[in-house]
Amino acid sequence: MSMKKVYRIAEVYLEIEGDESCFCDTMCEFETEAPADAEKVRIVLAAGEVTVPVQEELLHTEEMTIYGTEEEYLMRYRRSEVIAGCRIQKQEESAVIYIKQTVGNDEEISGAIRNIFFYYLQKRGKMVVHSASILYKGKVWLFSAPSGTGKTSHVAMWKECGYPVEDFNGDMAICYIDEKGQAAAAGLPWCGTSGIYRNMIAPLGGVIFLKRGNNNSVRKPNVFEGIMQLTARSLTPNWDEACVKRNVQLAEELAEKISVGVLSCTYEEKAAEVSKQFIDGL
Amino acid sequence: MYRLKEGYLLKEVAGEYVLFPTGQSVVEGKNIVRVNEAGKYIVERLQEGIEFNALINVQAKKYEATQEDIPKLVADTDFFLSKLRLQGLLIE
Repeated sequence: MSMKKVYRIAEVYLEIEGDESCFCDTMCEFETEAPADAEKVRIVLAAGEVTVPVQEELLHTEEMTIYGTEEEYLMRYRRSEVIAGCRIQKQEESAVIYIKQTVGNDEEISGAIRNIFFYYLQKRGKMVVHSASILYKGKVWLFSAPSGTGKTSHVAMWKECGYPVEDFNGDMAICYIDEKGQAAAAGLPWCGTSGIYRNMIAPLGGVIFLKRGNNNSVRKPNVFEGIMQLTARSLTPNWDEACVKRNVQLAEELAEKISVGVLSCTYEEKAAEVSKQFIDGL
Repeated sequence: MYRLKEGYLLKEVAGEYVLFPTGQSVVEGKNIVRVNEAGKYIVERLQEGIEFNALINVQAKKYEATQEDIPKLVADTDFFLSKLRLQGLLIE
């Protein structure tokens, strides 16, 4: 049975229409009702195959090929038994996900929704940063690093030390400058395999970039390094020049408003002590 | 004819010039490349496509180089192009 649900993520209304079997449980927490005049990102989940007219291929991975024209992006999934592809309008905030089969495959569909939603977030001046994040003294702090560096372990150390923190998201956070010109972080229903997420918007304190080292020390990078680190850890699309340009601009805007640190750290609790001292001293 | 590989965005960031990979270059794990003011000028010419001699001539004019300056300009340009070649950014 076809149904329509509306979610609110980082102050953006996301409307999804499709068969009830396609909807993802983890998004329930973000479900809401939108005002009649609200501007929404609309995603339709439709049965069918995606056809590829003559379009410029932007990139291909093992999983998908992405094409682009002036009007739209087209994703063709190469391996999925669930999704054939997606058609993403550039001007209107409207997209279609073509579904091959629906029953019990909500994770893959959720991933496709995420890819599309991140594109429209980026167009609205919001960036998704790969990080484990905490809420500390009323602000969100991101610990960002490539996978396997120990973001989750570092957050766990804060808790083991008994510092007054709450989880924000185990894998990513939406960062942006809000209407008042303040840096903000928003939770989202995607969190990798961590299972840690919450529906919340809070002031963004800053980002600490983790690097594995033999001792624990933290430094403030220069503006250039801060922007480049933020850009490198962005999960919002880099499909073409327009996307990359937006990502860099967002990183520049954020870097002006937030605190940035580079933490060389071990797996010892001392690492949490050093990063906490850095944040407390800002 | 020398040309910059497609899929790179030249952008100024905090007073530095950077070539950012986009699309397939990101998938292939290409790194960002920092260039100085002179490098930025060469990259802009390469985006349009240019012969080596023409590249030397436009730079000589821009920097008001004397005849004595030309060998160094050639050597510097050649070195810069070799760095781009090494990164896989140069199409010849």
